[in-house]
Amino acid sequence: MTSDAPDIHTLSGAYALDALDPTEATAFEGHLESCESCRDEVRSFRDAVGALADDVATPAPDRLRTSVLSAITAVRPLPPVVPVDAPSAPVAPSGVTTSASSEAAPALASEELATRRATKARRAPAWLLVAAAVLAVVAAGGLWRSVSLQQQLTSVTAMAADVSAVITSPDATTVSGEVAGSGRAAVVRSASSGKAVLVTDGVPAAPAGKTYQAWFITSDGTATSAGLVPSGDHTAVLLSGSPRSGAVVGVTLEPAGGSSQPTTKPVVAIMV
Amino acid sequence: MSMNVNPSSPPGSVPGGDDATGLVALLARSSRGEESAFADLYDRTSSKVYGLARRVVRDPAQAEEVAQEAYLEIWRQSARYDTSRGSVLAWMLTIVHRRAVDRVRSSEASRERDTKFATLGDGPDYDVVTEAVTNNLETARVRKALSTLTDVQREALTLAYYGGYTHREVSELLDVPLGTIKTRMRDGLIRLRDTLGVEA
Repeated sequence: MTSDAPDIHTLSGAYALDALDPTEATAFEGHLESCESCRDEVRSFRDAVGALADDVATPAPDRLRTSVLSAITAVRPLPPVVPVDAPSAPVAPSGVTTSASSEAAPALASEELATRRATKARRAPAWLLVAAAVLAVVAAGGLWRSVSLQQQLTSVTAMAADVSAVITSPDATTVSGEVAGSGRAAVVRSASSGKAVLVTDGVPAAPAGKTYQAWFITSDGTATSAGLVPSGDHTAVLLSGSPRSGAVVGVTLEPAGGSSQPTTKPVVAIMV
Repeated sequence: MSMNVNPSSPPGSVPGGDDATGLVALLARSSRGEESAFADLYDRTSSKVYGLARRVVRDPAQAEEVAQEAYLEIWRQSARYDTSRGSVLAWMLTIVHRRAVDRVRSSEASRERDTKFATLGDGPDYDVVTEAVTNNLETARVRKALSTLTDVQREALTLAYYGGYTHREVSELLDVPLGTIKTRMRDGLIRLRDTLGVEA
């Protein structure tokens, strides 16, 4: 089935219902940039399908409120989109734009695209959920623990914000691998910020006197420490340094405190 | 102001204008980091957000995760909302729905759901998982609007929106050609929109 130009308008309904395949959705978003009537139609459809949610409204568990309101304390809202927002171009120091009307339509379309790119970045949603759950626990812990841990918590909360920024970045990509023994690990990487987060799920705690340590390993075998990995069933940690595309992120068991070079075989190696 | 919030011209397309305008203000305050405003926004929307996530992913634990993830995204993107793109609630529910749909379409989840599909039976089941439904006038209005659709329109809409199925999957499930399904989804939404009084 090709979506040729005369036919593409009919996809507005399926698009508003999130029923298109990712490639079709991208194609339709390209069409939306130039078709005002489809943009209007999609907007009106979204208001209509939103009403369908009334029919399935269900009281949310109280703990959801607690965890949501805890988690937001560790996440900074993004700044507004400033018109004339070319990627990699320096941001104009003045927030005042005089060409607002001519910019309005492209800004709308690029916003749609940004949203869809974010959707595509969630190719491995399970990993982001693990990371989000970790963040929620970290943030909730921040409220529950005693003030004597304040300093420690401040750094934990800052870390949570960094982790969150990476996993929610529009260009985040996720690659995962099996961990020897049990569990899985994934690296979520944002090319634009150069940052990466290691997420683990179901990995057993390091034995006494040992710690997990992450490494960036280049094709010639050079390993650079990317920091220690906290112990726990579910963890998310911002790796120190910037892995290049094609590098391998490996995790080894090292003596407590970490090593300057890996001393054991990696339990998992993930090419990012 | 960056959010295009202009009190002198509230968005005409928003059903229940006053309520929706309240959400616009709460979202604007959230975008400036006001956690208490976001708490109010949560209280006014959580049953719809959670209910939609629950309806699509079905598993209560996964629905909680989807709803939590969606609220974090809403908080983070709050300054990016633009009234010209529809009501705040529609924008929020779009975020929730995409996340819920992503969840069920990931291979593991869909495998698990496939085994559950047998229990769905024939026809739309939009009233099955509505335990503790907020039984208000709005619900009656939506059901009445759905009842004005043809069977194929209604089933295509409910399988896509509540079931998280793609238009190709809906085409297979209903044994109706893909081209027809696309058209029925659009016809059905036009009729639903017009019956509910959403301005085009």
